[in-house]
Amino acid sequence: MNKLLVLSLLMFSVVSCKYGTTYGNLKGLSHLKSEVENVSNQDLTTENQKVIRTYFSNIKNLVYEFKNNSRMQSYTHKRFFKYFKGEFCDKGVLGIDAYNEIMNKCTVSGFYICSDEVKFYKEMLSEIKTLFTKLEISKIIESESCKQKLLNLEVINE
Amino acid sequence: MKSISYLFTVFFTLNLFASTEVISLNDVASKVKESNFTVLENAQRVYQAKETITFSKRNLLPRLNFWNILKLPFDWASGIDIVQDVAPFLVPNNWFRVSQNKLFYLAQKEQYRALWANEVMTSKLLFLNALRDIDFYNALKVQKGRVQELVDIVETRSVMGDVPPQVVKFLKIRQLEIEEDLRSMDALIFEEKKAISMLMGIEQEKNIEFLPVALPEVEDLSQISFDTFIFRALDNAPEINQYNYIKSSLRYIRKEAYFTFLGSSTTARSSAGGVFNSIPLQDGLGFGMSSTLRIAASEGKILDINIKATKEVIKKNLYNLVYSFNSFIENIDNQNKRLQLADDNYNIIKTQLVLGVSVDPLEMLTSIENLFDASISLVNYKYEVVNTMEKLKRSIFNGDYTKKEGKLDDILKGVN
Repeated sequence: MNKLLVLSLLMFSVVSCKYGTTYGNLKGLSHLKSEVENVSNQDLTTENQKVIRTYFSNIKNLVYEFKNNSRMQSYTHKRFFKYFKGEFCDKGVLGIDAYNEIMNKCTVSGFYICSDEVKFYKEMLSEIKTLFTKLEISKIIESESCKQKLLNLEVINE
Repeated sequence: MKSISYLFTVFFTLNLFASTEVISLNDVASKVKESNFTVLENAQRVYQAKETITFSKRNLLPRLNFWNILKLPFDWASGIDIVQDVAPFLVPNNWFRVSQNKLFYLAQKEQYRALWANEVMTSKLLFLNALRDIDFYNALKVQKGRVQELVDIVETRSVMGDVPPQVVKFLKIRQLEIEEDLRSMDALIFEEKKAISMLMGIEQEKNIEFLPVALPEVEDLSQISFDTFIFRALDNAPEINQYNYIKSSLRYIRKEAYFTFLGSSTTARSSAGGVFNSIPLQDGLGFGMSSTLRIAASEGKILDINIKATKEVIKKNLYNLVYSFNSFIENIDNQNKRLQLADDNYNIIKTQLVLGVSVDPLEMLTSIENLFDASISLVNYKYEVVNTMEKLKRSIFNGDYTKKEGKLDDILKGVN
């Protein structure tokens, strides 16, 4: 019986470690976002493309993990109001100006040359919005700057 | 009686139209996506891979195995065996298989994306080749008319003794050669139509006709650079993504090796089967574990080699595409001039002939053939540009080849 208990604990700790990585990636977004903002007004070199891809791929992976893991969703819902900090939106979410600047450079001679994650950024954000409750959304947009940012990105409506 | 025969004719004509399908280049892409046999088969494989995830998840729930329960009154020690039945979630390797199958599903989706894009490209290129051959066929018909005109003139002059009879015979031989070229061209177009029907999933009984495409004004196109496209070509390549997903799943093999002492998983790895089945796993903790880990590491190296090789193939193809596209643009003036000169030459000789100047019929034939070659070459040139652009679009997944990568596709399912 004790063995079973130890095993279950082992299993749960494995699961929490997994979330730890995901939440770690979420925190890491702010650093990646500022890098993207730095390169957004530069030429679209391969190196800059990689910087841009890293940020948007991280968003994609986070949305994918969250959307496909119901346990992670309920874990997040349970702790949302305890741990959610309004500044995440400012630090982690790329604003419309920098995004538009990147998108303008992504089409060359009629060919789209950036990652697909860049093209579908707004859609990915809209998709993750559907996984939060109304109450959680209202908490997210409590901050005026965050609300404005999400409005500009067409993630939320007035 | 007359009205009956009229009705019959109308019915017959309608029937003829009903069995002929007119296809445009856009139709090719959409038809291949929904009815190509290989694409449809592969879509089923993706579906199976997805179902395998559900299966491996459900395999974590208790199940009833009557024979194992029956064994219990006779052999209490066998109670430990039914852990796999009553609490399979306590076997870590079952969990690892779930994670692995999720990655194999994404790999399968990437394989599907590559196959899908290749089928679309093959069909579109075949469609363009068929259109080019139809243009050649029509040009050949014009050529036939021109040679016929020359034969008529030369025959008249031969009667008057201006031209030796062997020249007439020579021209008639050339005329017959053109007839033969027309016949083989017609057979080739027929074959191409049947091949396109096959790729588009259209029944072979149906006739298909092609709508022509607008050929590009090559003079208006500008040069492209390798650096512009290479990022997207590598970033979006399903062939590389597929290897990356398979490589990510390798870490679960290592975990499986560590946890074999808690039982092996009975869930299969991927619906396609066989992925990493060559890596030996001991049933229980033993001295073979280190070998398992080394073999797994070696598998990882093989995947790295494959990724590197695939990247180099993509780069090689892109270099070639960009180079040929730019060389087409550079040389378009040459092609236009060639046609212009050949056309001028033909008109000068034809005018001389009309004015009664003694023109060598063989010189006339050469000018007709020069004109034919130049016009064919220009048409071919323009189709080559369209083909190159098509291949470029395939390599960076633009236009008809736009298909989202596996994870992104899952996230945005139903959004677009």
